[in-house]
Amino acid sequence: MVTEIIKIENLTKHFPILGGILQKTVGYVYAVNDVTMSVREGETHGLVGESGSGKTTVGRIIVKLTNPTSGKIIFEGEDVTRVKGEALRNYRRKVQMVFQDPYASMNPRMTVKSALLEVMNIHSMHKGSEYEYATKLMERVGMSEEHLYRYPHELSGGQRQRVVIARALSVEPKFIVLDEPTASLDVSVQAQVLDLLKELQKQYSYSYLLITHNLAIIKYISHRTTVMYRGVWVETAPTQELFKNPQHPYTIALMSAVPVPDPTLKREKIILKGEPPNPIEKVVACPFQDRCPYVMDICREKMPPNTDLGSEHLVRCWLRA
Amino acid sequence: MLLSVRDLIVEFYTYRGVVHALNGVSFDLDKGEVLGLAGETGSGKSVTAFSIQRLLPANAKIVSGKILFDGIDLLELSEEKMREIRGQRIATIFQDPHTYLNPVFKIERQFLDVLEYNDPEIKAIRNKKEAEKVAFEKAVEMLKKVKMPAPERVLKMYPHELSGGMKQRILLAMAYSLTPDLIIADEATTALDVTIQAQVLEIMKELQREKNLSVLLITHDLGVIAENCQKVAIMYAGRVVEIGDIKKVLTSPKHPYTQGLLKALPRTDKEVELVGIPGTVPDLVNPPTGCAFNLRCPYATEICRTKVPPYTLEEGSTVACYLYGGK
Amino acid sequence: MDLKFALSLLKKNKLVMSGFVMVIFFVFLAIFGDFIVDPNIAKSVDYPNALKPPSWEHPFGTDDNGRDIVAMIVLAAKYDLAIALSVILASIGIGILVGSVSGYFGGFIDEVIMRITDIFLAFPGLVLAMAIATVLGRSFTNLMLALVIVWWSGYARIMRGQFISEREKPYVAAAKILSVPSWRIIFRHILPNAIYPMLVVLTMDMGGVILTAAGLSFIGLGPSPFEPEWGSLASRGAVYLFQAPWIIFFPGITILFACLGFNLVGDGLRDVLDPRLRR
Repeated sequence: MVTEIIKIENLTKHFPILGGILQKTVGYVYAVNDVTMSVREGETHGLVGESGSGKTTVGRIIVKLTNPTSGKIIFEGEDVTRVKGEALRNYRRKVQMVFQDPYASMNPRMTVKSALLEVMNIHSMHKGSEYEYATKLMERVGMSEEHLYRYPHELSGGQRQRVVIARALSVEPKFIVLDEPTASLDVSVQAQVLDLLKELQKQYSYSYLLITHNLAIIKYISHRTTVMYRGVWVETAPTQELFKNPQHPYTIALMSAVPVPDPTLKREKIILKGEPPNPIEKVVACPFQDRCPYVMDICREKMPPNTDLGSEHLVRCWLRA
Repeated sequence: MLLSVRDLIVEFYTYRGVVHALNGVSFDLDKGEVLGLAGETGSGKSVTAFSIQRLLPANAKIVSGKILFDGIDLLELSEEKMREIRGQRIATIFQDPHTYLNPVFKIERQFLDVLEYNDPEIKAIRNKKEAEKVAFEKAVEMLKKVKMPAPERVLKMYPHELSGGMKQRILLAMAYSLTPDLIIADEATTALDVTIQAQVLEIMKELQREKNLSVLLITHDLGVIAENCQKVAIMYAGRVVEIGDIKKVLTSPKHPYTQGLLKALPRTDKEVELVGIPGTVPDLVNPPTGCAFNLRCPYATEICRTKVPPYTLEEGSTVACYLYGGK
Repeated sequence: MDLKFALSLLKKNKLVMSGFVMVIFFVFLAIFGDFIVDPNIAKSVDYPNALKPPSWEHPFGTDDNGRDIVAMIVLAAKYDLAIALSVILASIGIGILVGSVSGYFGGFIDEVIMRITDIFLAFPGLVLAMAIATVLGRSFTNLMLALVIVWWSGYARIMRGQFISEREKPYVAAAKILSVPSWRIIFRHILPNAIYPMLVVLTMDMGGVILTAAGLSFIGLGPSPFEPEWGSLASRGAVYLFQAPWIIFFPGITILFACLGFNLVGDGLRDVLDPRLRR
């Protein structure tokens, strides 16, 4: 019985837009709308979408950098949606985040050692043996003790990302949100970091939420994947199933649009018309109606229901309902 | 041969020392051909683009080399003559459309400026109002070509009212409107969403075919290159290490770096075991002696560490690697 | 931050170097002034020697009390620089505290603090300083107090702006997720990064404070005539403008060079701290 380590239910986030002299609310950014998904223990769940999809906001809500407008976060069976104080600190030991730009997410003025030790001191961990633990962490991410004394600008991109991962691991989390973890890395280094993440998961049973627009790395390390469009989840399935048998028109178009480095591959490219969604407009019915090549009348009237296609493959589309 | 770059050496003078950005870049681009220039950060691909347009910053110097465009050595031209070539015969589209459109002017103003100053037909019109009208119509026509909805309305907008993809298409339209012979696209679609990227690349393909343009497509994304180019040049640490037909280079890569790159690439079309390339891109202030890749190459030998490998022809591709001769 | 780079940049700019030289010169005077010149001169009165023009004995002439102007200028250096430094440090201290809290937490706290800051900012600096100095009376400490009250709001504003832009950055988010307490995020993480623009303003304001202090002294709100301060020295010379112009001229020129020196150093610092340097 595989347990769900975290589940978000009907998560919604609307950011108010303030305007005018009195700073009244003149509108909303409908970033996330009614998203439900879960991550299983020891697994990687990929959350894929383009800009405006809301995937980054979901990540930020999960690590509590921002609070949802409505909906629930259930972690290890408990409702943690509104935790504060001590309970929040406990939550933050178990749930961590790795950001996209490793240089921007480190304090340029602190050495690796200071950064790691700071975390340990805050959580009163490993009193007396902080240095040993820091060294062990470095080794775990494939670096050495001497790197502890470096500043971020003295490290390469890949090394920085490893340090950021080490820092996230230092609190001994169970679940890590990876927000575009390799986007700012070169291809040759990306592979190293992805393999490191895979290896760590195998060894220590970490669960990951991988947020990215890069379908290739989703395919490489995530077990299950959810596709988001305009704040709404449109399809979710085990990764292999998703790639073999995509059902939502957006998923199909997305996969078609990704360039493949194989010049011998001949395929029909689906070019979507129109622009990516403007999250200021509220979602009424199917969010993909403006660009969907198969749009029907009902798509403009009602939100498509969750359709279970079997083998844990769910889709929200009137075509498949 | 429309564009012929030969042994281009470019240096940057920074506080850390001299950065050897380009160490002898050579490649050819034929008329109507689309050549991809691929590489990671520090490979020198953007510096190459800027060098061709002679738009390098003040602390850079083209030390030696030739850039032959339609027989003319661009490096020998006066700035005045170069200005005639820039934009009219060689147009460049850069990565970030936000920085290349002036936020305080409407699109109309920027587009018409380009046409009024560079288009010979429009420049010839004496009456200013007449010229503006003609330019406006041409702008609308070009925007329609890049599939811009409601072009007249878009022209009256400010850049911040438009999405990234739309801005990039406007820059595309501006670049193509002067019917250049060569288009340099420097990571032109890297900052765009995947579906928008597909849209923009499609438009670029159509325009290229329609006018038989030559395109230098610069990107780190080998997928984009595979789907849009006929030839590709792989750059590493300021040198072209492999250049050849797309099919040859990407399906049977010769240079160990190219091989490493392809093995490190996660794929959507098949299951792969990723293998990273150990080490990091070399510091161009202190580049390694011999072949720049020798510190990371699984096949490196003594000669690789001492002498820069010459180019050899191997099964149709040109490679700079001792594995294929040159000793 | 690369010290090597900093020094190399500075060396290249002759103007900045000259600014440095001036500042170092004045600092030297401030520290060693009392040993170069007899401090009792300030309190002395030597009427027979009054209003003598510049000569070998008195290169800058003498003032209405017969005191050698060179000596007075040297002795005043200590006071002026001390005033400038104290005022700036105190203002920055308050400004940082207020601005960081306001910028980091935002919302209601920010609104309240900013309105208070606005009130202080709204007053023309010199007028406010005048008012406070008048109420409190003539002395060095009151002069400094008046200047601090005027100056802190500007720094608070700058700090707030910096904090607002820094708080959205990933390293702050990362610190929050690691449960780093707010005060530590403010002082240990954001502040060292936000302080850079302040350093430039700081050096240039040194000149500004000296000038303002001199101005206040000039209109009579500074220390007493027996406590040397460049501004009060100059003000005494105003009456004798046509008879003994050197009394106002030399202290005036000194103020000029002190301000110039600090400004040039501030300029050089700005170049050095250019974001180019980061990364």
